[in-house]
Amino acid sequence: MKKYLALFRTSWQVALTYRASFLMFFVVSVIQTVFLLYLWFAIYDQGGKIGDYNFQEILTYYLLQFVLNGIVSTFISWDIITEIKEGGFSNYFLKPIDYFRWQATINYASKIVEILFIIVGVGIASFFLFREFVLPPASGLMLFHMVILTLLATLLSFILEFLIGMAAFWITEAFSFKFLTMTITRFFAGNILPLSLLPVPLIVASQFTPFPYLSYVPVQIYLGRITDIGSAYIGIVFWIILLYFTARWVYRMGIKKYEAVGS
Amino acid sequence: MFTRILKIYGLFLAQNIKKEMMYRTSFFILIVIDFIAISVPVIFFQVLFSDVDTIGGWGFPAILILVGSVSFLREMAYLTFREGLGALGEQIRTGRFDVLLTKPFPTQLLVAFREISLVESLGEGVVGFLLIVYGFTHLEIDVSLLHVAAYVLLLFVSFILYYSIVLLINTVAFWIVRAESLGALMWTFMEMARYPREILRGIGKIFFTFVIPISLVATVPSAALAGNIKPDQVALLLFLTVAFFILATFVWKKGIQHYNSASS
Repeated sequence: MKKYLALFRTSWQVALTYRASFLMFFVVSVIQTVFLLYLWFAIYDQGGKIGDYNFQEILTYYLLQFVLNGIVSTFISWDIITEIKEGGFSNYFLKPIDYFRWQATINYASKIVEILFIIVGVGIASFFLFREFVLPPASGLMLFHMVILTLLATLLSFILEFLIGMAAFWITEAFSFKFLTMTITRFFAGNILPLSLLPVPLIVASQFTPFPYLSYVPVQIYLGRITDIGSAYIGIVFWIILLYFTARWVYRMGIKKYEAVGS
Repeated sequence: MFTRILKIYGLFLAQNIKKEMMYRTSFFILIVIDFIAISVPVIFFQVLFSDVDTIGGWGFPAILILVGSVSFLREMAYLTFREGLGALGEQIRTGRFDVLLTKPFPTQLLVAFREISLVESLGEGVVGFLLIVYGFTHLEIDVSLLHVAAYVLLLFVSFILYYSIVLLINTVAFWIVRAESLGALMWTFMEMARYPREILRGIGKIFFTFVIPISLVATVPSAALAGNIKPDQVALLLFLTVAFFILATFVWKKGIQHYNSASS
């Protein structure tokens, strides 16, 4: 019994630290979104217009970005980097488990709580607060596609995070690397600006990355700005498959490197 | 005393630069990160200003000064206190804080100087400075040295305010052991200092003026440089700086007392 208690306690501690980083992420996103909303209010009040977005569209865009980004984002790379750097990773060699699936399980277990928290707590509250400005989905079917694509995006996001975590096998500044990828991810997922408003070279660049599928594409589908649903599904499935095999391969390489250091 | 502080500071700086130069890749990575990190707000505002002329009374060159000033302030902070105060919680948890208390040097400065870093935010500082210069030379007004002087003075005041906020946030560590994540919060607040203060209204304006006064930190000096100095905002900045400095010092002293009584 004692060992299970110990296990319970560690899992609990892990869950708590994880929760803390989620809470942090959450507070940070709220602050960022609040400032962006102030900015849009100020710009549209003085009669300005950003790109081809009217006020309702831009407001809906950012609120949806906030909700979807919260659902999709994950922080497992943080744990992976810590485990690899501090040596805790060695424990996994002794356990009859698959590291990728192990992390995926942890990820999805915590996701459920987070998703409820975001959707119930804030999503609905903010939509209620701004209800006169929020646009309904382009159609019920589009809403359905957005939900399915978002669920797929959680998988894409997980694999991406797993890959980022793998960087710890090779570089000592894995945390800085993580920060770098986070900035790029957020930018190309359309968190900061709708991608269609960016300078052309950046729009082109974004199309060669998986990041728009994390939240930009689902939001565009909700708004009815992307109607080619087929390509959206093909795109995200393509990236999931490609990155899954890459992650598996990089993981095997990483293990070799890790064992070589130990010997 | 002042020369002694400078001497100690110089020793820490030399020591930490040596440490940082040991990791070349780290140096390179940090520069790249900084470059990308500062590109994001510049691109953001560039896109906005392709559709509007001003935001809350700020033109594009003035906004560049604002964006640059935040980065410049941040590098100044990394060069003096940012990481050190952030590590206060760790010092307390590991008990190393005891040792610092016994040194014949102001403890607060000792904590601050320990982790000073030249390269952590160097890329941002340099690009920030270039943005300030670029913005300043592209203003559509007659600029004078008076603007520059006002800017430098007010930036120094803002620096003290920034220091006081960071100190205040981190002294929480005396009571709550795990307080590191508050550093990430401070980072976000400084990112938000890049927005013109004029866009805020209602409760947000009150909060980011009196509770976390980041809506003044970069905007007041930047407005002065852009020739748009607002006396009431300058007064507010001065008042809040004094208030926060006194408050932070008071909480710090309370914290030390609490720490002493806890370990006895």
